[in-house]
This record gives sequence, C-alpha cells and structure tokens, in this order.
Amino acid sequence: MSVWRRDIVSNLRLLAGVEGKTAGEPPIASMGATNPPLIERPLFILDHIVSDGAQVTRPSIDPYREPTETEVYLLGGDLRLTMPIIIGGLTSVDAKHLDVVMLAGFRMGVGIHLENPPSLQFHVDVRRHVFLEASEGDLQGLQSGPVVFSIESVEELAKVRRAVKSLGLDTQLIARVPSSANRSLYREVLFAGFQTVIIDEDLGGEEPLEVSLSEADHTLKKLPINGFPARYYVGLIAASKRIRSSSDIFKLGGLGADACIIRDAWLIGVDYKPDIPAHQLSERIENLLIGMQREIKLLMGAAGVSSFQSSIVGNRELFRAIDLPYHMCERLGVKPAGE
Amino acid sequence: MGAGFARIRLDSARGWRVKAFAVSDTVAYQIFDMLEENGHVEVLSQPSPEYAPMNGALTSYTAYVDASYESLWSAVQEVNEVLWRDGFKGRIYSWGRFVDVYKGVGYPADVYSLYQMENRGLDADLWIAHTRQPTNSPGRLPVWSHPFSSGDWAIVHNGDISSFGSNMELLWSLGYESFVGTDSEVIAYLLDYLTSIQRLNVQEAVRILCNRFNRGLPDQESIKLFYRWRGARLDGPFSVIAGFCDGDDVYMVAFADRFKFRPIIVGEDENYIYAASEEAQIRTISPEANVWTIEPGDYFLASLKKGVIYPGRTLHERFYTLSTQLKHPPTTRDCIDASYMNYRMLNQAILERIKAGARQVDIINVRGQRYIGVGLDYPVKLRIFGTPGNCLANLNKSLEIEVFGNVQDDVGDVMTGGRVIVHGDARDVLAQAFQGGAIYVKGNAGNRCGIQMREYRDRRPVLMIGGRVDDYLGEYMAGGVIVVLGLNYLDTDVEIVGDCVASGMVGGTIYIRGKVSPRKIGLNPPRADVMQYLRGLLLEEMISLKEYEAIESLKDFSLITLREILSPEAVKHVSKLYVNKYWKELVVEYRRLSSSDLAVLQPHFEEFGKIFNLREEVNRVVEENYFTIIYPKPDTRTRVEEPEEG
Repeated sequence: MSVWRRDIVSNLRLLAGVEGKTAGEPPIASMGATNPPLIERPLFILDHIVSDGAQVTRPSIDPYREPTETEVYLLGGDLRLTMPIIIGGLTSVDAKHLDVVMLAGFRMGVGIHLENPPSLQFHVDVRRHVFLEASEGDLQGLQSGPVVFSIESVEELAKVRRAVKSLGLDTQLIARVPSSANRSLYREVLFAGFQTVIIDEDLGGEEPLEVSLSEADHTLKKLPINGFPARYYVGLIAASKRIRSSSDIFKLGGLGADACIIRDAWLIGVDYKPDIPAHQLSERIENLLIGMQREIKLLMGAAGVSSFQSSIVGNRELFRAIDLPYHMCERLGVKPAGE
Repeated sequence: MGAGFARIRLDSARGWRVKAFAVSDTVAYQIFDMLEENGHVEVLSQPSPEYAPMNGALTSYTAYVDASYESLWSAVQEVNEVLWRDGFKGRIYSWGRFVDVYKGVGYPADVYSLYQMENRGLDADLWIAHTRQPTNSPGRLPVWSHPFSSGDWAIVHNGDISSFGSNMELLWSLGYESFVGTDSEVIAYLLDYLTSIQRLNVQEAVRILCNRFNRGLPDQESIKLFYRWRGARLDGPFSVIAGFCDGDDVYMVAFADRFKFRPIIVGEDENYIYAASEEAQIRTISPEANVWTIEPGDYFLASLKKGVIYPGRTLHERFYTLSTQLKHPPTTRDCIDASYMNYRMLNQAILERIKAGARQVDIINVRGQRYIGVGLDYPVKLRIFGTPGNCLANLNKSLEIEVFGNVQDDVGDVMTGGRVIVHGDARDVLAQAFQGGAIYVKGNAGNRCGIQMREYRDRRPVLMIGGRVDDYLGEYMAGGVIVVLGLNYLDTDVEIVGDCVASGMVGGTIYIRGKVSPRKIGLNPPRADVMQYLRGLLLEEMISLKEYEAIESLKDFSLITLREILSPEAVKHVSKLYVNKYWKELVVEYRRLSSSDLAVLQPHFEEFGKIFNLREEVNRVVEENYFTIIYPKPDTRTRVEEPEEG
C-alpha cells in the first residue's frame, strides 16, 4: 500500500491550493477517528498513536479566536521558526527553483534543509534559516549560520571534529544521524559542540523514526550537561520522506521532536513539476504552510494546549497508542489507550 | 472528596519535619529507617501518629530529621519509589522546616477534626486550605488530597494542567522518580526545584510557571528564559495558591493560567492578605477587605515582611476607587437574612415574599450563594447586600437585581430581560450569551465579558461597565451593545481593555472610551511572524526598506495599519497571515459619539449616571472623550444565513 494514500494527497493539495478553492484552509474535522488504525490499515507506528484530546475540565481552545503558539525555538533559542516545520528534499527540485523555495520558506518563517548546497551566496537573513549540509571537505568560504554534518558513527565524528575547528565561532552545528538506537552517538555529538540533532530516517538506520526519536529524547533527558539535562539545551529534529501531514508532525512532536523536516509531503502537496511557474510554486508553498500551521493549531486546540514547544514536544501523556504491542508502547513512553 | 491545610511559620524550624502516610506503625518505622539508611539523614525523633491509626487505612506520622536539603531530597525520592513499588503501603508527603501539611479524605471539617486541629493551638504566618472534588485521580487515599508540598513549598491547585506530561518529563530528567500521578503535584516540585536548586527568586520561578502570552513587543530576555525552562511552563486551566518560606521571609503566591480558565481573587485589609477562588470566601473572614483579580497569565506575590510585592496586575492602583463606597445594608425586619441559607432556601424565601405581594425584596448577608434569582420570573426588584455567588441572574427575564457589593463569575448568563445593577466590580464571564435587558457595573469587570452576546428583533442587550475589563471582551459577539467607560482611569493614557477584544465578533457594537491598540482588537498573528513575512517581501523588493522600517518602528499594528502603509499588492500577500475563512472584517472607528450612537446609548448613560451617582463623569466622557468603536463590517451582498455551530 502506498504511503501517499489518495485522501492524504488530496488534503495537502487542497491546502496548497492545487485543488479546490480553499487554499490554506483546513477542512473542519471532528474529534474522533476517521483514520488509521481503526478505519484504514496502519502503515507506521504513528498511525497507532492518537491524541488523547481535551475534555470537560481541560477545555479545547479555538485557535481562530484565541492565541495558539506554534512557534518553536531552535539553535539554543537563537532561531525562531513560526511553526515546527523545515522544508527538505530540495535535491528533487530544479536548480532554477531553489531560490523560490527558499524565499517562500523564509517568508513563512520555517527552516530550509539544503542537502547538496549549490555554491551560491545567501542573503544573510535567509542564511539563518538555511540548514546547510556540509562535509569536512568544503568548508572554505562557508557563510556563518547553521551547518549540518551527516554523522553515522563515532569514528566519523572524529573527522568532522577536525573540520569543525576551521569554522567560525558563529557557526551553529547540527548533527544529522541515522534512525538508530546508537545512544552513545548523541553523547559524543553533544560533547563535540553540536547543539542540534536531526534524526533522519532517510539516512538509514535499523529503527523506525518514532522509536529512535523517542529514545533520543529520553537519552538526552538523562544526559546531564553542567548538572542539567542536555535535552533542554539542544534541539531535536525528526526527518523522513514519509512524514505526510501536520498530524504526523504533531505526533512526532509528542515523541520529542521540536520540528520536522518534510520532504515528499510538500513536493506532492504543491504538485511540484520542473516546469511549474515560479510565482505559482511560491504561492502554493505559502498556502500549504499556512494550512499546515492552522491544522497544527487545531490539533493543539483539540488537545487543550496552547504552546507547541512547551506543551506538545515530548508530552507523551497527551497521546495514547491503539493496537501497539506493549513493549513498543514502553519504548515510546506512550500509554496504551484506556490507561 | 479530599481536603487539607498547610501552615507556614517562619520561626518554627526544629530541623526538617517529615510527614508520611503509612498503613501501620511498622511501615512508619520502616520509612524512617529507610531515610536513615541513605546515610546522610539523621532521624531525630520517633515517628508519631498524628491521629489514632485506623485499621488498614493510611495514617499520618511525623518525625524530625537532620539533613541537608539535597540529601533529604534524594532520600525522600528513594523511599517513595520503594514504597510505590512495594504496593503503596505509605508515602512521604511533606518535608519542610517551616511547612506543615494536614490532609486527608473527606470535607475540610472532617480533616480538621481528624487531626484535632482545634486542640493543637496551631498558629501560622500563612494558612492554606483546600477542598476538592477529584477529576484526575481517585479520591480514596489522602495522598491525592491537596496541599501538595515539596521542601518549604505548599500549593493548592484548581484546574487540569495539559502540559502535565511535559512537566513530568522535565522532573523525571532531573531525577524526580516518584509521583502520586496527579497533575497538581508537579507544581510543588517545579517551584521547589527552581527556587531551592536553581536558586531562582520566587518571582522568576512563578513567572515561568505562569507562562503568560507574550503581549506586544517580544523581549529577548523573556524568550531565553522561557526557552530554557520550557519544561516548567504550565498550560491548560489552572489557578494556584502557594506558600513558601526561605527562612528569612514567608511568601504567598497566587497565579492563573494564560486564558484565565479558573477563578482567582486576592485581597488585603489592615491585618491580612488573602487569596481565594471566590470573593465570598475572603468576605467571610474580612467583610471590608479590598479585593481584586489577577490578570490572565499573571501572578500575585506578597510576603510577611514586605506586604504586597506584586499585585497581579499592572494597573492596580486605581482599582477599587469606584467600588469601595457601598451603601449600608438596610436593617428592617422585612429583609431576608441569608446568613445561614443555601441557595435553594434563599430562592425559596425570595419566592415566598414575592407571592405575598412584595414588589421589592431586600436580602442581607449574602455570601457566595449561587443562582440567586434563577427561575424567578416576576417583575420585582431584588436588592442584594453582600457578595452573591456565581451564576447570579442566569436566564433572567423580568427581575431587576441591584447588588450593593461585588459580584462573582458568570452573572447574567443567557439573560433575556430585566436589569442587573452592580455597585461594585464584576468578575469573569459577565453577560455571557446575554440577549435582552441591561447590565450596569459601576466598577471593573473581568475576563471574557459579553462573550456570545446576541440580539433578536426588538431585544437588544446593553452591557455598560464603569471601570476596565480584561481579555476577550465581546468574543463571538453577535448582537447588542457593550460600553466600557474606564471612569477610574480618566485623564490617563491607560488602556481600559485587555487583549483579543471582539475576537470572532459577527454582530453588535462595542464602545470603549479612549484609544485601543490595534493589536488588541481581534486575534492577530504574532508580531514576529508578520515581521518575518515582511522581511521576506523586502528581500524580494515587494516592499521598500522605508515601508519595512516604518512598520518595525510601530509599537503595535494590525492589518488596518498595514493597509495604510503598504501597497495593495503587498497587503494582498501579508493578509494571508490575518485572514481565514472564519475571519470577519471589523470596522474600528476612533471618534466622539454621534447622534445615532447616542440615540441608543443616551437613556442608558442617564440611568447609569443616576444610579451610581456618576452623572458628571458620564456627561463629561460623552461630551469630551473619543471612543474606540468596533463593529463587524456590514456584508455587501446578501447571503443565506447558515445556522451557527453550537
């Protein structure tokens, strides 16, 4: 069965304005389940996780009339994203569109993950939002700002560490690691001066993203730096091309992600084609992001929560698992439904 | 049911007073043996039961120990964890040098007599009392009762914290291992951790927990503080009253959540400082105290030595100027003395007077009785002396109710006719779904006033407030008129309304004396989001640097302001952040009242001035002052009315 079920694609495209006439507007949904695992066949662990929702003594919040904060801070509080989303998957985008995507993302205040950065100079403002992938070879002339290193093992880290030394002080270091259970890697990465960790399922790894993310969150919470849990100094980002929707982002937030890198979701949502006119691409990205932000707000409101970063991120108590083996619930830290 | 008390006394330190519930003497001894096994705790006295042990039930034991804070903290964690694993035969629930907690199952009176508190001759610098109807944990064991305590903090809580899981994660990562599993306990642990371990001052710690919405310009320092302590921020409904002693001073804290989903009231008289869920509770002890509410997401802080340190509102000083001069109650034999009546008895007594032909019924010594006047559909006048409880005049059709005092929450809910006159202040959710008649309040009103007000044909409700109001004035308003006069803030530049005025408004008109900041009207996107977007437009040269800087320099702005500065093309873009399918354009005017405004308002101004003896002030305001006038932009095309969702 395809990850990209028709209703998922259709919802993204309605938000982006590719279909229909309600760009940026989430369809009003009820509380209750019309989705996996009860109605559709579940594909991922995420599909077994549901939001516990607001109830009488903890009322829901109407995000259209009352403030609901989707902003998240990364890089030690220096980078403010308007919503917990980073646009990735730009390797699939025609070179002539890179600027369009980056500017649209910048306007909307999300992050942009560039895996194969072209040798272009960014505006200094835009650069702050670009998570620029680098390897130890090409650090010459790198503009200051967030830099991402893909690190798959502790041995690799040693090489990176030497390269990092040649970087300026105002470079913010981000480690991109595979979706694995290699807990010692987080420790090494943090002690090497990295302040953000991306857990990227597309880099491989033997664990599903949900498990790896949740365990990373808990590992970092039990790792003290200056007597205080490391997790509260560092940012944790989840990445996978199978992150489909704002509800996936919402749930990954609950498992510990401050933000998510979305790849196929936005490409499919805006119906990306190399010949798409620039203004249309820009418009659709904006619409999609506004729509997803509103969906996240609606999900937060339905859970009786008004701040994503302080009340959703790592708040497993707001979620329950349906039809998930008990040992899996334990690893995720999510209670089975009914408990 | 559960109830409990905490007392904090500055000079009571005899070492740490550790209190534990245990199912038997044997378990109690085991608990204190385990504490000592930790190696850094010396038990100074034998554990003694605080009341006659009941077979198989948890009994409270006390003993004194000598230890450093850190050693005792970790020993308590260990012991509680072991007790929890061993099938819950006991638990240490309080350990402080200055704090003493008494809690149990039952009503407060039951706990009071269980601990024989009357005979103990207890005195304190701060008392906290609580009663609960459990929603989040079973109520059958005393460990789930409030107050919750950690170190020299004791707290009581009303609400349901939705950030509970995040707060637990932080505490767990800091080494807190054992929880009884109710959301309220995390508040005590967080406050104790932040002040005792992290050495934040009380004010900083409480500010983090309150988690107030960022109003206006973001300040970098607060952003960093809130980011660092994101695991300690509270979300969801709560009001909390807490006490703390650091050995030098005793602190009293009261705070409310950012939406103010739960009531909290504070007060002061010559001798004492008070905080409570309802004003009637304070009035029971101090009929003359000055009382006021806390702003949404704010905190009240007082100490034994310093008195009120922060009043919980920025505009406290003029707060009760209008409402303190109350008429003395009548002493005729005709009036109803509500002293020993519950609300049923009181409404019954009123009904009997009416049936006997009374055109006016006076009620004295009213103290917190709810639902007064509900179901009494007669064109008579009730004069209430005292503090009526919540839900006064709900569903009112014909009564005229005049209150010589302050009223509590939810007055005039779904009122369709008649009149309510309040000579003091009103609290939250005043005039909710108010649909006919008039409500006049001489003083201030609270949060969410006039929400969902509506009109139908000739039924047009009028809500007139002499003082100021908090957030969400006229939210979802669909009809009728709201007037906020701020007479206690004349000749100042103080804004007399809170945030999110007219959010979701679809009908009716709101008049607010003076200028209201654009960002306070409706729900606006965060300033940082808009500036980010504009920065993007600047990079693409869709707006000029001059335009960008003009907006950046404004203290606050709205879409209306942006329209005045930016090109229509740029406005079209940035509108996306403001406009959605539920958004309705509001017209905001700033001007003197016109003759057509006065055609509706003048009779009410006259009544208001006459009743409250404020003719001069009202006339002056009407003639001289500018008003911010808000109403939804009329539809340019007719459309089929769809039923509103519930």
